[in-house]
Parts: sequence; C-alpha cells; structure tokens
Amino acid sequence: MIRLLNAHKGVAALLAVLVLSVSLLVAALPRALEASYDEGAQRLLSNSPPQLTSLGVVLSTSYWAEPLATVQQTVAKDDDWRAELPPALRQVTTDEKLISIESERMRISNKRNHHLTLMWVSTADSAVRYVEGRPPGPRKGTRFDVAFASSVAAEVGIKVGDVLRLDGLTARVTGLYEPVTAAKAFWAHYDALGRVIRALPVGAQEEQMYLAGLTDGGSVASQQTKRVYHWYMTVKPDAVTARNAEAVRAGVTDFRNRVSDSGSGISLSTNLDRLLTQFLDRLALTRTLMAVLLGGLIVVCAATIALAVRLLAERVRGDLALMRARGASLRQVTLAGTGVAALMAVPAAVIGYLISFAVPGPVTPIVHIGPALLALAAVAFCAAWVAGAHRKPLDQRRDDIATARPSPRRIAMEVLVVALGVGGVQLLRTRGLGTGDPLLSLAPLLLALAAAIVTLRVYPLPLRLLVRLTARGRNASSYLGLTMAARAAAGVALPVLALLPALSIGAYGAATVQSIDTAQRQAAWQMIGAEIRVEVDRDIPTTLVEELRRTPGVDAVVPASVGPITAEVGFHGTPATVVAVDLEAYRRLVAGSPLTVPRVPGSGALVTRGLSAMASFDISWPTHITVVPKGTVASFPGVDIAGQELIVVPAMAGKANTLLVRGDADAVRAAVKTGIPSGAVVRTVNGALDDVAAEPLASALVTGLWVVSLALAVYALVGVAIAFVSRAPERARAHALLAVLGLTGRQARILTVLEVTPLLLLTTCAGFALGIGLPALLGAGVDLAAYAGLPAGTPSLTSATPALVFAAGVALIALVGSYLGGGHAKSGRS
Amino acid sequence: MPSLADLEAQAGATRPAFGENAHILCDNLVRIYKTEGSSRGSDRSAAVEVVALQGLDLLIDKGELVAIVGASGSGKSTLLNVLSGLDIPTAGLARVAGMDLLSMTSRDRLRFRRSIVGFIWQQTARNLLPYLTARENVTLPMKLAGRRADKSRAGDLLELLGVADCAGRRPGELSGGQQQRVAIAVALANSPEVILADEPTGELDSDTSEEVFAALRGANRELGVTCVIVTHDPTVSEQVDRTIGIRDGRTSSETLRRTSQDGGVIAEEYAVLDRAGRLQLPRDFMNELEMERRVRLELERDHIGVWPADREDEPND
Repeated sequence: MIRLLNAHKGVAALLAVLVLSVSLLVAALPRALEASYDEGAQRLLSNSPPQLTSLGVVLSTSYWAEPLATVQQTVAKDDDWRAELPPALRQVTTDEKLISIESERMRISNKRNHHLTLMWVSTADSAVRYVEGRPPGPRKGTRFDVAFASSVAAEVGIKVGDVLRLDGLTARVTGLYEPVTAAKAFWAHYDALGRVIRALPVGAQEEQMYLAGLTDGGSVASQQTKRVYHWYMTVKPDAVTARNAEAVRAGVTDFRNRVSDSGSGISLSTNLDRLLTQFLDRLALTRTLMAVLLGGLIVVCAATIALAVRLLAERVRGDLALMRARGASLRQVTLAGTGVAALMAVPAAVIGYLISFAVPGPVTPIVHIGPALLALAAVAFCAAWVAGAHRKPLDQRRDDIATARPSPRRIAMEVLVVALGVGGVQLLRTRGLGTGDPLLSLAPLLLALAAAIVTLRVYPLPLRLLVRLTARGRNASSYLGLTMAARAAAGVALPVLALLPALSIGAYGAATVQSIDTAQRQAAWQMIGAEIRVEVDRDIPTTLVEELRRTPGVDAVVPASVGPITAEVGFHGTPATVVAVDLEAYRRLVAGSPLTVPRVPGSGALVTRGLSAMASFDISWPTHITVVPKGTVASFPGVDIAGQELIVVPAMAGKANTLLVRGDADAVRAAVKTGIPSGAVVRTVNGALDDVAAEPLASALVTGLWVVSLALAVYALVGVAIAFVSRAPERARAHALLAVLGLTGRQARILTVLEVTPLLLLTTCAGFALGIGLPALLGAGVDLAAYAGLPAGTPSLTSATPALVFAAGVALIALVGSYLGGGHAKSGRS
Repeated sequence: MPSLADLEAQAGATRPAFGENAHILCDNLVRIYKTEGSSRGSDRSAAVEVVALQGLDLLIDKGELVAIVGASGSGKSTLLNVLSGLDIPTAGLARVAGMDLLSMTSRDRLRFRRSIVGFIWQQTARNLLPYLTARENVTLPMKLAGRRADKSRAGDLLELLGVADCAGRRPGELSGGQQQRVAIAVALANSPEVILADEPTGELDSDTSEEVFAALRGANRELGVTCVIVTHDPTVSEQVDRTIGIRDGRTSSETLRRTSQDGGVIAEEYAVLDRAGRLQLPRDFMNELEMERRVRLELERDHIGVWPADREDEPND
C-alpha cells in the first residue's frame, strides 16, 4: 500500500494538503470565532459602567420597618443574597463586598437650597483618603458626624467643624476626604459622594444642590427614617463568555424573581440582563451568518476533497484493476485503494487538528468532531468510489457512446434537495435567520446545492445549441472544444457542486462585508453628526469659531447648542434634548455624506411626536424662548436622545457648545487646543468608524467573512484545477492526435479554454445570481445594521459590485489557468 | 438392415454431451453489450446493442496450446474476457475446467480468477505493478489468494521463463520481452489450469515475440497448463497445434498442424461446422466464385458440393 501510495505521491500529497488545510480551517476558524465572541462579551461588560453590570439588591425601608438595624446584620445579609444566586451567576461574580446604607434626602435648614444624604459604604475606608479632620464617629443622640469630599466642601462652602441642621437632626462635619482613584468600582456606584448634584426641579425658582456625606454605619442603620440598603455583587467581565451568556442572562431573571419574592421594597438593580440580551441577539445573528458561510465552505471543501479522492482513485484504478484481475477480492481492492487515501487523509487531518491549537480560543466540540468527520468522509468516499469502480471485475468499458441516463434514485434525491432548498428559503423569509434554528441556517446552502443541481440539468442545453452553431462554422477549434466539453459533461457534477456554492456563498460574503462596511460608515456619521465634532462643556467663544473658519484645512464650521433641558410641558415638565443649529448651513456641511438633515417647513422648530401636539411651549436653554412646533423629527445626527423628546430650534447667536466642522481633523484639534486648553472633546467620523469596526463581534464577522470568502475562492479554484487535471490524459491524447492533423499550440489552448468555458460561465452566472439574490431571499432575517449600532431595520445598501468582482475573479483565474494548461496538454506534459 | 431392437437400443443409449470432456467449452455463446441511447444533439438514438459474440462454439482440450485469430472487432478479446471470468456472457454455455461461467457466484468467480486461470494482457506495462519487483509481482497473486508468498516458487517460475536474473528488478528496468515473460510467471503464480493471453506479443518485435512465445510454449509443455492465445502475430499463430479463426463473433475456421514423417509441419485449414449445421465459407472463396445470398448444395456420396446459384435461377425480385 505504501508503494502504491509512493507511485502516486503527487496526487496523494495534494489530497493530504487539502485535508490538512480544511481540517485546520474547520478546527481553527470556530475557535477563533468563539474567541472573538468571548472578547465581544467581555468588552461589552468591561466598557459598561459597573453600576450597569453589577447585581445590586436594593432594600428601601419605611419608617416603621427595622429589618437591619446594625451594620453586622447588613453585612451578614450579603451572604444570604449570595446564597440565593443561581449557579450560573455565582460563577461570574466576585467575592468582593460592596454594601451601603443611605438615609433619605434631608433639607439643610441652615444652608439655603442645600440637601444632604447621609451614607455608609462598607469599603469607604479604602476609597477615600482624609485630608482634613477625621472620619465620622458614632451618632450621639440626634447628632451625626459627617465627612464630605474636599471638592464638595469647597464648592458649597463647608468646613470641618461646621454643624448642618437637618429636620430634627444635626450633622457635624468631622472630616474632608479626597477620592482614591484606584477604587473605580466604589466611585462608579457612589459618585454622589464626590460631587454636588445641581438641579432645577419643575416649579422651583432656584437651583437646588444635593450633597452626600459619609457617616458612621451604625448611626445611619439605626436611624428612624427611611433608609435604602444596597448590596452590590460585581460581575467579572472575563467570566462571561459566549457560551455561558445565555445561562447568565437566565440567572439574572431568576435572581430578580427570587429577590422580589423575598419581601416588599426589595428589588434587583442591574442592566446586566439587558446588556446580555443585546449581546446574545447579535451573537445569534453572527453565529447564524457564520454557520451559513461555514456550511458553504464545508460543502465546497468536501466537494474539492472528493474531487482529489476521485483523482487519486482514478490514478490507482489501473493498479487496482490488475490486482482484481489477479485474484483480489472486492474487499481487498477496496482496502488497498481506501488505505492509500486513509494514509494521507487521516494523518493530514490530525496534523491540521493539532496545528489548530496554535490558534487561541476556546475548544468547542466542532474542533474535535470537524477534522474527525472530515477524515472519515474522505476515506468513506474513497471506499465507496473504489468499491463502485471495481464492483465488477471487467475494467474495460465502452466509452465511445455517452451513457447519461440518471437513476430514479438520483432524480428523487435531486428533487428532494431542490424542494428542501426552495422550501427552506421560503421559511427563512417568513421566520428570519436569527431564530437559531440550525435547519433554517442550512437553507441558503441547500438553495446553493439546488441551484447546482439545476445548473447541471440545464448545462447540456446551451452546450447543445453552441455545438450546433459551431458545427456549421469553419472554425474547428470551437467545435472541437465544445464537443470535448459535451463529452466531459458526465463528470462535471462534483466541480459544479464545488464551484457553485463557492461562488454564491463567496459572492454573498463579499456583498455582506460591503454592506457591513456601509452600515458602519453610516453609523459613524450618525454618531458624530459631521466629519468633525467639537464638544465643549461650556459656551464656545465666538472668536474661536471665527478663528477656526480661517484656519487652513478647515472648509466649514457650523456652531450648535446641544443639551438636555426640561421643557415646560405638563405639571412636572418634560425632559428633552435641545439642538439649536442653522439647519441650512448644517445641510451644506454634510452634503455628500450618508446623513439626512431634516427640513423645517417655514421658520419654527421641529419636535418629536410627544411634543408635536403642543401649539407652543417654553424652554429655558440655550436662552429662554417659546418653541412653536412646525414639524416632527425622530432623531438628529450626532445626538443621543435616549428615548426622551427632541427639540430642534434655529441657532442662537453667540450661544454654542458644539462645533460641526468639515476639514482636516489635525488642524481643527490644534486650533481648538489653542483656543480652549481644557474641556473640549474633538471626535471624528474616522475615529468613530474605527471604534465601530473594532467591536469584536463585527470585526469577527468581517474577518470570518473575508477568510471564508477567500477560502471558498481558493478551494473552488483547486476543485476546478483537479477536474481539469482529471481529464488531462484524455485531453493530451486528443491533442496529440489533433497535433498530427495540424493543430497549433494556440488552437490547443483555445480548445482547452472552450472545453471548460461553458461550465465555468454557466456556473459563474448561476453562482453570482444566487450570491446577489441571497440578501433579498433572506429578507429582513439578516439585519446587518445591528453590527453598526444602527436602529434595527435600518436599510443597509447591498452593492452587487463585490459579488461580481468575486465571481468574475474566480472564473477568470480558472480560465487563464486552463488556457495555460492547454499549452501543457499540447506539449504532452500533462 | 438393423432390427427394431437395435434401433431401440441405439435410441435409448446416452450419447456423450457436446464437449463433455473438453477443458474449455463454449456452446452457442452470446455476448451483447448494451448502451443507453443518446438523447443529446443530433445523436438522438435508441439503445444500441453491440453483439460481440453471436453463438460461438469452442472446444479446447486439457493441455492444448491454441491460438485464436481474427480481424479487429471479431470478438476475440470478448471471448478471452469471458473465459477469464472478467466478463459475463449474455447467453449460451461457457465452462472452463469444469466451472460454469454463467452460473458462478461472485465468490466462485473470485476463486476461479485466483486458481483456475491466469491472464496476460497485450500492454506489457499493464501486466505488472510498476512499483513492485518482478519477484514481488509474482508473489502478489499468492498473497491476494490468502496464501504464503512462496518465493522459491516465484524463483522457479522466473527461472523456467528465463528471467531469473530480473527477479529483483522493477518493470521499468526490464525490456518489453522480459516484462511479458515476468507477466507469464505472474499468471502462473497460483498454478492455474488455464493461461489466457491477449496479444501477448502485440507490442514486441519479432525476435522478442519469439522468446515470449517460447516461454509460453515452455510453460505449456513443462506444466501441462492449457494455453489460449489471442494473436495477430503469425510467428505465434503458425506455431501452435491448433489455430481457431473467429469471424463476426463465431468460430469460422480451424487450422490443425501436425508434423509429417519427414519432420515438416503440415497445416490443414478446416471450416467449422457448428451444431446447428452452420458453416462459414471463407470470404475469398465466396468472392472468387461470386457467391451471394444463395448457393446450391449437392449431397454426394462422401461430400457436399457447394455451387454458386445460376443467374437464371435467381428470382426476379
């Protein structure tokens, strides 16, 4: 067997390389993708504020309830909550305790418009550093000790030793502290301890200031007022992966129910489940898309490997036929032939599998199963092929008459595949691709196979027409080439099965990459609102705007005011975001970009639907004006209204905290740095695009699409090359005979090109048509806008150009290869 | 005048069946190749049948050295494929060394190929595996038959065929004649009863052909193996005891050779009369006498006369 292998080492090596590379792809690609999915989950949690990702149990007590009157009881309760955690949540939370008790907000009677909340936090000692005075001590009667952040004290004019009078209580300031920057989690949850919250409640005439100060735990726990207890459980971002995210989300729901059921006034405060839902939705879509592409890749690889196995089996056919004639049983012949394939395929699959461990990423079952199945399939196909070829001992068959009557079994199978493909796509159109149904994700692949089958059935029709046409002509090359193509028609099933799914799925992949890029670009423009956006935490001097306009490299500058306000609508007012900008100037600024700037009919304001019923209402920022709605607007580029109302009004002269700029970003940065040394943020579309594209799920998908599309192209070409080489002996004989009759080298090349052109052309057309048709066939099931952070359902443009380039490129390379190969056949080297 | 009792005894006596004692028997053998009709282009046609053998009769005794000759497409190779168990006849009777080739199971067929027949093809390269040495090629059929690789027997066979010095060489390192002689050794590896050779000297020059034929004849005489050789080569067909001509899928003639008292070889060609009484007249005889469609037969005392039909006897239709 080794010698048999050695005699055909070229083809055997080709088989080994194919199996190795496919094994590597099958084992490594899922690992790399899983790693990207995990990174996506981890980055989502790392980038989200801790107060959103941590699990916070909140207990609001009433005056009369005293469930936890001491710090010890409060701390011990943390263990009780942790005991209630579902296993999936317990595995992803840290042991770090973060517990707090806070009083209700109390008016400071000896400081006008000031309010105080007394707080105790378990880890406060490590999160603050006292710069003056001492930490607060226990309560003495109605007198509390309290400590403030030094910045807060400075802002509101409080010093150590001051006594603040509250409702029936007093608070003596014993110390001032500064935040320890390392305690990020603490300050994320309790930022109120480090700043003064200023607000103008509806109906209030003056701005109110809300302070929070640290006090002794026992003092606040035993206070006979309303209290709020917090027990925070921090989630380890790196513990949440794509594989346990669903369990964690379910755990949060379960925990929420358990917490709610444990008593009145107790609730779970977290956004972890919402974040994970968002992640899992995108993950499901990514996985499904990759399943479609990987499924296509596996089919193409399987067909290519089958072609290589068939080539090998054909090469050893003579030897095996001799052995059969010399008395070898079918089992012996099959074992010998299969052994040759197994000797190559099995070690190659194992090597590919081992190399895949160099790729970082979690090991999923497909990593083990994929290469094993691949080797098994290659060996089984070889066994079936050899056994079929040598089932009857006579190896001499009449091949001078084309025999092409397919068996009823094959016709039934083909009809089944076509029906499944068409039915599956119909289901996809109604249900969508993101349902996670594995059968539905196979539908595009089945459709590609159905298209391949139809192509195979249709293939003889144009060929017959062409042969008839060329038979009348004087050009012998074209007639002979097409006749040879017709003779080869019986053996094109495998090449078509490799080429058509490769072209269609590859073209679909190329179009998807283009669509994602378009969507991401659109999202970047939506996030920034202009090529360059300058945001300042105060009003921008008019001189800076003028100076910026004069700066070389800056084309246009549009000042705007963007900020949250409370519109004077209803008893309590309505929170809204105001955008004050010159819409015409803004429209000119972003002309040619994907942005659409709303138009105002006449003069007036645009408002969201919630405010559109109002004839007019007042707003106090940027200046006090009366807004008269003239139209409605849903969103505004670069402005996140977070579900609140939006009001777009004309620009206010001299009032601007935002500059929308077109030009050179570096020049703008330099000018802004000079004009406003601190407090200015410059953001660009390119920067935003980089951020969006770097999002792990999106980048994993795009990388996966590129890798798979490239692999599809390579395997499709290898498949075509193998099919080409398979017919090389016959072609060489024909060319040698024709050369005697006067065939030139150029004619031989043309002959070869014409031999492969009908198949390539028809398959390329079918593959391209299916590739660009797939987005339409899949319908709303694949919403690529999700990868760009755009609202669901946002139409994403799909250009046919990348798909066309892909399909045409593959076909062209194959044709050039056949042209060059034709010369070799003529010279007898093939 | 026989009595009634004699006639009854004669009628009741069991006559030996046709070819009962023959080593190779073909009786009214038919082989038809069927191909699907083409539905493409202008070649639209119904199913095509190619009748390669059409009622062939053949008897060969054990130990005979027989050549089969005939024009291309006459059915020689088909006959050989049938006799070697590589092809299955469509109808008739074919028996080799007592084994009925039409009713064999696949297991019987395998045993038949392993131990009853040995086969030699025309193409020298096709008889041997190129990556095995001559000796290994000879021992391969033994291994395939599940026996021990008897290297001494392989050596003996190579010695008998005059290629003992090539035992360690691969086919690529052998001349065409040497390759064919090794191929004969391979065919003899499992001590078959019949050797079938399809144009074994077809690719060789006359000197080498002589050597290969001598090797075959040697094997026939030394080992007593029945040899059937399909050939176009006169150096072969003119040196065997019996040459059988095949025409249009039937045996048409036989040439028997015997050595005369003065040491010369006397060859006599006979037309074959099958069991149905059919006789093929040599084509050149027919052409010479312009015999067409009908002939006139006359039974004489010790022969049958065949005359061209008189022109005036021809019907006007």
